[in-house]
Amino acid sequence: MPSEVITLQLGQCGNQIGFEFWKKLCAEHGISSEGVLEDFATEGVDRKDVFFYQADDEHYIPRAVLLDLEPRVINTIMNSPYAKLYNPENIYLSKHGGGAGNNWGSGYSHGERLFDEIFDIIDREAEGSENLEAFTLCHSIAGGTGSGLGSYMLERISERYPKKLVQTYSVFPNLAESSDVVVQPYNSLLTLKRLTLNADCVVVLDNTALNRIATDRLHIETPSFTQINSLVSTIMSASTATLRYPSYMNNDLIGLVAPLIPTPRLHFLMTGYTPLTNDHEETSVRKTTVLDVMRRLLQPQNMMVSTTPDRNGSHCYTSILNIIQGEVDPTQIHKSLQRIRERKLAQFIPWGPASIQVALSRKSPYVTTSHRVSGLMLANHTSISTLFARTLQQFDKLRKREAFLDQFRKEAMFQDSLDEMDDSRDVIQSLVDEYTAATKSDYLSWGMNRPGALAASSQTTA
Amino acid sequence: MTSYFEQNRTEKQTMNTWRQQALLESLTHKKISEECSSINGVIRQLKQDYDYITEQEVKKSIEGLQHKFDIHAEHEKSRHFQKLVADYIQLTAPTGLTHPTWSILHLLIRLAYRPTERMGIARDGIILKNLNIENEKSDYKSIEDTGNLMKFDKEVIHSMSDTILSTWTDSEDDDIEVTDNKDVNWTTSCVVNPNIPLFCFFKKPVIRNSSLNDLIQTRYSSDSTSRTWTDFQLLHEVLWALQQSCDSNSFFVSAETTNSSVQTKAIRLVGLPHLSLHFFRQLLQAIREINLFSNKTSSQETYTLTHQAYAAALASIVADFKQSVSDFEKRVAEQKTTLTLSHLLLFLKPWASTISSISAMHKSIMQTSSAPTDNNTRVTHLLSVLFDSTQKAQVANYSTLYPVLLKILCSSLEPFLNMVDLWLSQGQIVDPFQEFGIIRNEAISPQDERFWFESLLSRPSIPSINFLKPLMDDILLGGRSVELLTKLKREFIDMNCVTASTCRSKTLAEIFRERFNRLASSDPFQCAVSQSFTLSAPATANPKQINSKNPLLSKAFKCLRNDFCRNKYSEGQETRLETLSTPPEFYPLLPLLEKSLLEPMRSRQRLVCKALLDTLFENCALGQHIRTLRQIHFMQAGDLMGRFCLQLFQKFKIGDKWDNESSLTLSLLNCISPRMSQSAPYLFVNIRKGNNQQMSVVNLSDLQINYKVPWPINLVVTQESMVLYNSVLSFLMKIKQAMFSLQRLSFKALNSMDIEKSGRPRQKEMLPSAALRHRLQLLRAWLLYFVSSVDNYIMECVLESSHIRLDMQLESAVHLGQIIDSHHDYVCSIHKQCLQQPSGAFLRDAINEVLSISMEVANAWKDGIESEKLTNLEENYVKHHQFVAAVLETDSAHSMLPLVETLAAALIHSCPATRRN
Repeated sequence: MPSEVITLQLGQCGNQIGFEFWKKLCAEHGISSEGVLEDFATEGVDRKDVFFYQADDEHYIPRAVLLDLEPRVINTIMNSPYAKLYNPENIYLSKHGGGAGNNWGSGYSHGERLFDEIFDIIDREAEGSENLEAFTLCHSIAGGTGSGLGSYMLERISERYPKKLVQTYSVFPNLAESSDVVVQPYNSLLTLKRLTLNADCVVVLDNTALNRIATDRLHIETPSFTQINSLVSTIMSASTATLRYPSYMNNDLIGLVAPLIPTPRLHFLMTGYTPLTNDHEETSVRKTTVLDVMRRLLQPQNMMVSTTPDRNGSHCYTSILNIIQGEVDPTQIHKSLQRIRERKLAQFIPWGPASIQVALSRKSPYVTTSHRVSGLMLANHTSISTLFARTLQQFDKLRKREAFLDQFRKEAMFQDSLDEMDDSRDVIQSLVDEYTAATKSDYLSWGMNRPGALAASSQTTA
Repeated sequence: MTSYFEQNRTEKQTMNTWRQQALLESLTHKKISEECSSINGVIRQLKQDYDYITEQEVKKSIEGLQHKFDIHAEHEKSRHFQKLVADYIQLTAPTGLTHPTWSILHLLIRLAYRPTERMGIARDGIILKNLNIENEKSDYKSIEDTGNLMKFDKEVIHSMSDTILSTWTDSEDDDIEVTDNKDVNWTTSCVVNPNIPLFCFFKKPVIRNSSLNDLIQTRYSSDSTSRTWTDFQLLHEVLWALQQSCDSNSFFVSAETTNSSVQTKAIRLVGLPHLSLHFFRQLLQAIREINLFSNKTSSQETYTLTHQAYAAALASIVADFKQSVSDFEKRVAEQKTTLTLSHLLLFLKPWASTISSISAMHKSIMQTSSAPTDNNTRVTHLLSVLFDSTQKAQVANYSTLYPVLLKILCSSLEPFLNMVDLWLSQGQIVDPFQEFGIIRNEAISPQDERFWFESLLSRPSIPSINFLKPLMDDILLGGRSVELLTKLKREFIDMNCVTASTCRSKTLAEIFRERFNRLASSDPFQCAVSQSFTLSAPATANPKQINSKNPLLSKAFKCLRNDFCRNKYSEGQETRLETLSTPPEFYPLLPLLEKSLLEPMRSRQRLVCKALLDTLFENCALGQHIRTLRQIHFMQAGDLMGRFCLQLFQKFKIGDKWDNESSLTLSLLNCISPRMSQSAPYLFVNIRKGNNQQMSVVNLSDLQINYKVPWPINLVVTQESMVLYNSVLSFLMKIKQAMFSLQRLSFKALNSMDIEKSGRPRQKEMLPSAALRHRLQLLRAWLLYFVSSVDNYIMECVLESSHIRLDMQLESAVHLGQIIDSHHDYVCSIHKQCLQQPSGAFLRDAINEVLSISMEVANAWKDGIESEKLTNLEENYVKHHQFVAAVLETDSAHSMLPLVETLAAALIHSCPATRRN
């Protein structure tokens, strides 16, 4: 009786990270590139059925839907050894093949046109699973397909499957270098609105931070997409490890996510992973302990979101979940938490429960790592709002100049007015405001006439 | 002498026929019919019985007889006898020596051969003479032979009886002056000599009143001639008397004979110091007692096996004594060296002390043995006394007494070892005399879950044998294991390999004897010299240890060792001939026993226990069962059980009828099917009846998941522990219910709430919905935090760490008892840490309060809530959170709940405070 998760891969970026993700899952479950269980993996007690289902010939098929408006990435996938892994019926390529042209509006309107065909696939997948728990969406928010079509999909899915959890892995554009997509701020903002309103949980993957980590941590001078995507897939697989290797706790996605999100809109999560190793060079084998891993996870340079330095120092964690993989004694966790608490390594919100939750998970027996313990942090941190604020700034710059809006005006949504954009801006602004409010102890009375009985604790660190 | 017989001839003839028959019956041990009473019949009968005699045997006998004469320095008689035999052979020469002739010769010689029977032959001689007169010419000579023999024997009798009834007066001289002092000395007779030949008694009614007996008596009492004997002769007689006294049979007979006074004769040895007389008396008295005991035990079945073995050991010591006496006699006969009575005394001295010690010990053993206590006490007493005396002997008298006692001890242990052996190899206690401290409680079958701890009753108030104490645990362990194993063998056909390994070819007693002998006979000093034996001879370890510890001691030890070696080898062959081989006197007794007894027993026990564990784990899937229980009742299979719980909670929520046992079982089996379908047959859900069955949180505690624990797993997973499993399960389910409900509250649903409610009349009483929602969200966050923390603590710090500990214990366990204990501790500690015991009730109640608040919040999420009520819930929650946090901070909570610090810290560090406005 699994709690299945259906993965939707949208656009160029979404399909690339999705491809890496499935590669990783196959390796961890001992499934060959053609979906056949390897001989050494037949005795496994892992749950393959969360992300895979078995065809009549017993071979494993990912619960994945691949959508794109242009054929390049999907063709690459179909020419790779993993071509036979996917269910060909689940791969949807727009017939005209022209793509969305990096235009959110184009992607969105494509979605409206292709609704029936796409939801045919999704409905079939959903009905094929016994107890569907969640949809996971992989996309980027800057392009056309991932953002536009993704936004459309988010709206429709939350309508159509209101009881299912919608989680996204959203790649935020690299703001450090100039993008070739000039309308990126528009695309991002419009997508962010849907992510705020229609998703239950957004795992923010910031290209800026990913590049930084690749260069700083892995010592790759010019990181390729594959290398960046492998980082992303590591995070995706680690965050689902407790679902796939069942144990006492955190056996469903909702249990994993719910404690992280206290209020509906504060659902943008940062991630951190340690230790990171490069496939090509096994430079140094470090001694990994639970404390070591948990301390590293709290270091900003390991975060996969680049936030602007916090001048006031007011930003804080709303919640933290550490998924520790490997052979760990529960008592070590306790000691590490104690140390972190003593050293006040993490600043928490003043109005709510403040503690690091820890989930223990097994490691895949089929993938050898040089580290005994590895850890993933899923954190709800108010500083993520700086990312949104940055997008707002860029948006405002363009919007003021009314730049590059012609492309959008061609689409039905923006033909009459650009209200949608302004509406989105309001939504994001209020999101940023809420995050700021959440750093204060009077967040309880935020938007309220009368405060409730719950008050903050005296301790604010954990 | 001759006139004496002539006088009585007429009297004898009247009894001739009678005696013929009696003699024949006694010779052949067969009932003689009337027709056989003629001489031909006798011959026929004799022929039948002596037909198997070979020429060689007869010749050997003749030689032996001559040798005997020589020993007694009766060279004249020897020569005469030789001549007679030669004549006899000459006589039969024309016809050739036929088989019957040899047989008859043999018969004659046989009658005269044994010293014991010499007196008998004197009497038989008469009979034979009478017989011979009638016919059989060829035998005439032989009658003369016997006549001569008879004469000789009469002399012997005479001399002997003289000796017996005489007092040795001259102590200075080599000559012995025998004076008839019978009347005075009768009472102080020191040697009881029941050496009347056996066959005299076979027909008691026939012989009892015979004039022969009277005759002998008259003869003894009337003869007043005093004789002077040489020391040499006396030595012979004493030796002979000693030998006789060792012959237990004669004692046995004499004890039953009514006219025993007839056979009782006394020796008075004049000239030897009084002490030596006393010495003989004591020695013989002791031997007599021991013999008496031996005979009693062999004839009476009321004695326990241990007593019988002990008696046999005593008898063998007496036999050894007899053997060494006869060896001495041989040396006397060889006449290579001059041996006097003093030599004999010297020779007997160690024996005497040994035997008197044994006798003393025996007395103390018999004191309790005769008391009407149960056999176990008696056996325990026997072994304890034996062990104590052996230990004492090692200190006091290590060279002579110690080895003897050691031997007795080992033999006495044998029945016990055999019983243990049988128990350890076949799982059966065979204890016909109830002598060992192990009683199987037949009321408890191996299927019973109490089997391990209650199947065996130890006898009440046993003063258990101290050196066996460390052994008893091993034995009990091993025995129970074997019993289970044999039982299991019937269940599992493919068990043969296991039992084959346990049933080894050698019995425990054999191994013990072998090892003990190896230890006892291996010359510890030789081993010390040749290092190659270090492994096989633990004795070497001892000197070495001493060496390493104390240089002075080691030096002393070395001296002692050298002395010992010199003594030993200077004495040479003779010492070697001693039946008791040189024991490792310096090796402490207890380690010696341990080495030879405990070790094989332990290794056997280990083997058996291991076999049992292997069987339990491999064939009965013990680990699998414990794992299944952990996965289901302790929710280690979080996904599967989560699924089951969700289905159950869903039924609660929508108000379905949920308490249908079979549908619940079906749902459970369905949920666990992906990974644990093999456990399905054992599982079923039932609902405790009797409580009200309304749908509420409380009601969950009525739900139980039963696990039909198969035998032999129920020895480990008892019904009692199943109750604990279920009580933990219901607590976990309550937590999960609250947690799942909180987790699954969707913000989207909350948003749509006020749209739905907007039309309702109570809208006005509600707070502005946005603020209310916000408060509800935050309360949910707090509750979720609290419940998750508790869940986290229970899952990781309680369940997971306990299960890691249990797994380690299971791996290192060497016998089933440990596994039972580990599992019991595991379940109990989890039960306690999950606050299911009365001591944790106040905490549990507080947590339950929070859980029910959670449920209310979950309902409010769906149905809306008034501001007042929400405030109530908030306050209530804060109160309970603070209470739980405060309690967990205390030391008592820390001591009650290990690793609770994590939870305490989590709750203390983020504790909501009430704020009143």
